[in-house]
Amino acid sequence: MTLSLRELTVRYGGPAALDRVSLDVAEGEVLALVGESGCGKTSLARALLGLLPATAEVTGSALLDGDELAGRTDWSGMRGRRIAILPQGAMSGLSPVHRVGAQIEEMLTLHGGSSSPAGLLDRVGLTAAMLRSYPHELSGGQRQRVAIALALAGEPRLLVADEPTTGLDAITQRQVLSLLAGLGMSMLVVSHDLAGLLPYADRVAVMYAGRLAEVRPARADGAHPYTAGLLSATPATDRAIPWGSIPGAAPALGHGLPGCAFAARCPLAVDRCREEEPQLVHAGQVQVACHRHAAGERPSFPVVPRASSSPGTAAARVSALSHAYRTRARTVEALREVDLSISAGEIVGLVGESGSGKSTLARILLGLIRPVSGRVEIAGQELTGLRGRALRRLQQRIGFVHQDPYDALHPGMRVASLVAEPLALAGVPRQERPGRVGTALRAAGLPDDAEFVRRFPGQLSGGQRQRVSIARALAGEPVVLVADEATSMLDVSTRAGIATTLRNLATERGLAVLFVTHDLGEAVQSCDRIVVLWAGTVVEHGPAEEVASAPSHAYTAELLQASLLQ
Amino acid sequence: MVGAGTSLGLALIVAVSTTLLAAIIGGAAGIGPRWLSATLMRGADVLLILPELILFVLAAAFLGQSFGMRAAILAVILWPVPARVLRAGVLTAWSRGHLEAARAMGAPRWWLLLRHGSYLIGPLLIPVFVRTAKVAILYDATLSFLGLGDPTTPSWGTTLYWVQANGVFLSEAWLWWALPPGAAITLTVLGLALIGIAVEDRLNPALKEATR
Repeated sequence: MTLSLRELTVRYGGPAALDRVSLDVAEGEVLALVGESGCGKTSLARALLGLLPATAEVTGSALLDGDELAGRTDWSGMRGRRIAILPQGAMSGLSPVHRVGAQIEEMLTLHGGSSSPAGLLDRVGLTAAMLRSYPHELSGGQRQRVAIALALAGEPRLLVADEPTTGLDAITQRQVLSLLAGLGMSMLVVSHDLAGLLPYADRVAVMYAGRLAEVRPARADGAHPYTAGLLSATPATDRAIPWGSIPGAAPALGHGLPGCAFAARCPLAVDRCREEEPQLVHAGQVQVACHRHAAGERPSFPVVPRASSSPGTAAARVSALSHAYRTRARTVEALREVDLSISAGEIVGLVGESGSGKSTLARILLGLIRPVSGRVEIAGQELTGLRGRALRRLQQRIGFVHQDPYDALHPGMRVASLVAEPLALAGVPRQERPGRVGTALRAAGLPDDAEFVRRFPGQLSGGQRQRVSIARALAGEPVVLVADEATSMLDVSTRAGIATTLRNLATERGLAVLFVTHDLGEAVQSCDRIVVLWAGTVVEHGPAEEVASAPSHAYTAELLQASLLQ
Repeated sequence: MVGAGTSLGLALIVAVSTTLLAAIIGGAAGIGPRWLSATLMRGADVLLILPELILFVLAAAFLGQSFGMRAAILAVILWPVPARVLRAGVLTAWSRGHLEAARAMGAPRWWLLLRHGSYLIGPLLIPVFVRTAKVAILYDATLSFLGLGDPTTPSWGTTLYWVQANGVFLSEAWLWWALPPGAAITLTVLGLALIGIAVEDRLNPALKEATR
């Protein structure tokens, strides 16, 4: 065994963030450590490298080839040489003022590595010519490869890769993962993307609320209901596979619940699950911590419903829309001659990678950016020519769900006043507001009791915040709802729940929804029609089934290919 | 100790008026149209390159040394730095998600500034206020010490001027004449500086992270 953890526990002066984890990484094995935010996976990775804050208390043992890592104070000759980390967002951590070659040289000198810089670049699939490049001259994928080369410079026995694919587009993600898997070293890959890692890992360890839920070979079948839920919550680009969500949210640290931490969200839970904590036991090739494992039942999670009725009249229409950002030095064309229409009761998916112009289009629809040319019609009214009070009145008929649930809500306002803000702006009399706030909260799938509406955003989970955002957008009774990457910052298990809410709103209220996303799978699963934007141009446009099964543009086909590899 | 009233009163008035001026100019430059922002900020640049103290001394010499005039001159000279800080604060606030969401709801600018912006920009005003008070005390004392202030009203600076003019430094009495106003100025400025640092540390999350 290269690495062997025994009862490793991490506490930040209170309840355990990482609770008695025992895990092994064999020589040359790629172990994927998967879980949602707050499950303790990052604490584990940091504990291995001694990168935890001083307040953290580590107990248990973590042996790397016989050397104890837990609670170590002298790290000379260990970090970089024996155990290396590829930190989260490593590609943006390269020095912008040094050439790639110089940065690799530095690492080699620091860790006494014997390989040549060109040799290291060759190992990560880059040419020696790039030694003379600066990081800004490279693409995101290339920079991530350079970061991997830096981590390899000290010839470590174990590489810890923390979320190695965040910030990369779907196609590059696959390339980076296959590169990591092909390195042939012992590796611990920490990620939230279970489905994405499965083809590349040898074994998978799934964590939930600080505990290991399941450890199994990547090829074996999942045994824990949570694993099944995670897989079901990853949207496939095939409409035949439904997109499920795990109800509720992950428990907060120190929930103090007896029994299985997942019991509250588990469709298979019985009384025993709520009383007795399951231990990790062997069951064939698989280790699983679940009382219901032997029953062999498959959990079924709620899935995102599809459109049942045909869409109504067009609520928003965009024609021949072009926009360019001008600075003194240059002009960037963000949108070229874009046409789009959204009907009442319909969800239209706007798919594209970062820089494709999808956010610009959303902001033009919201009246936040004035386009260079083209027309935008909302509920039969031309938006682009409006100014001042008339523009603001039309804006009140468009709902907006911001991408970042942690930034989109004023931290000093309570839920009730957050949701009532559009009403206050529209001049709705004060006594009518609580009733409409309650209606909006219920429509967004939130409770509307007195305790809940008095909470501040800081007391809500990410999914709840996003629902408050949706409720706020609904309060003004809009005709169009623009959801800008509304699910991208949420945990996998809660994403489908938000999509379900949007679908219900479209069906019940006849709301026209523009669902902006970079994830083609999400769009295929939750939208009626899909528009693929690439470099400011619409390259694909059609019903979701058709786009998923028979893409007409090479870029869409490439996106589909990347997601099918899962 | 009669002089303390003059010095501290002037500091208070200058700090209030400079902070107000900076908030109005910085806020206007932050949310106003591009031409307004450009004009205001180039104006600030021009004032910034002029040496503040010399400008103050010259302006006081030409325009008069009355209490009100000194305060007015100081306020006009001291606004550019805080105005830039506040403009940056407004611009940062404007890019925040909840402001964007409110703008998309059709909120007018005053609503954005009062409801959403004040929460983010308000904390910036406190260090601006303290720092301006500190600089005002120092500059006014310098002016009086140079004998260019109003020699008839007692203040810490004026006391030092008379000490200097009467050659007290050559006698044994310096301890009783020069030390009290000198120490008062030093302690007040030091105190204000420490308050400024403490308040800024407390309110600025970036600094809180760095020192932890």
